[in-house]
Amino acid sequence: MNKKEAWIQETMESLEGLKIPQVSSSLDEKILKHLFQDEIKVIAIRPQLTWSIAASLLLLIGLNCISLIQYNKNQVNEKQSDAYTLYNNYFLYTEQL
Amino acid sequence: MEEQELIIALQSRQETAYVLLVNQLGGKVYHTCLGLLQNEEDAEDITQEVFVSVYQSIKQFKADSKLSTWIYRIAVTKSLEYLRSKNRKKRFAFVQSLFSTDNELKTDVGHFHHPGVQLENKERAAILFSAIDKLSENQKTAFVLHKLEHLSYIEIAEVMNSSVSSVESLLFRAKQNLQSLLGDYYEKNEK
Repeated sequence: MNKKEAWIQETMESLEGLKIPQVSSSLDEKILKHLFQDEIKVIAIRPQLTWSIAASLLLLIGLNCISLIQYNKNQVNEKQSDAYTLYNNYFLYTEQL
Repeated sequence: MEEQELIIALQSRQETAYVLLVNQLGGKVYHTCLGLLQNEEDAEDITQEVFVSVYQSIKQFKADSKLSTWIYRIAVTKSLEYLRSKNRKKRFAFVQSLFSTDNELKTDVGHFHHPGVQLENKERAAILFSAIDKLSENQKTAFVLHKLEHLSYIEIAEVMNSSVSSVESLLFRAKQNLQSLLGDYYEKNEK
């Protein structure tokens, strides 16, 4: 065995007698804290629930749209009736004169 | 506590069962991750991720293999995924360095000093770890599980989801490649 081969052989064997390093107690604590104190929760949402949430949102948006349209219509009607009252009052006043 | 009892306790999320599991396998998982990642901080992070993964998916564990084998498999998968993402970042950093004004490549290339190596072997072990890092994923996994964890060929085959003969072949090629890499290193530095 020449010098190079001997060096390779020794390097390949440098892991012999390797000790498994002790895991620090802080790592154990960190893992357990992460598991139980940070509360990892896997929330499974059923498809029915997803669809009912979507339907509720759609209904809410629809109701809002309808009430907005209704409110606009009422505003226009109110404006028209105000003008009509003013018009009537004016002619009543002129007739009295 | 027998393994079957432990699995049931883990599935019902009993804290004492997890304390026992972390005490039993925490060190081995950390050691496997350390061998593959060659970085103590990364190994700690991935060890944590492994146990979170166990916590989340223990209900799907069908006990068709040993619990420790299943956990080793998670540790190997997570470590290799982490290495892949790290290598992607390195490649990106290399591309960025081509366009940046300072032509310094910022990568963390350096020798890894394993904390369990005997003092007289420290320098040579660091060279060997550097060569291990250059092996393909499968060769590296098989070598680390065999040389560092002292797993049998059958256990390595179970962890890697392959046959005993392919593990034998992986280890044979890993040794050949390591000898070749060390030979090159010797020619450049030790001669």
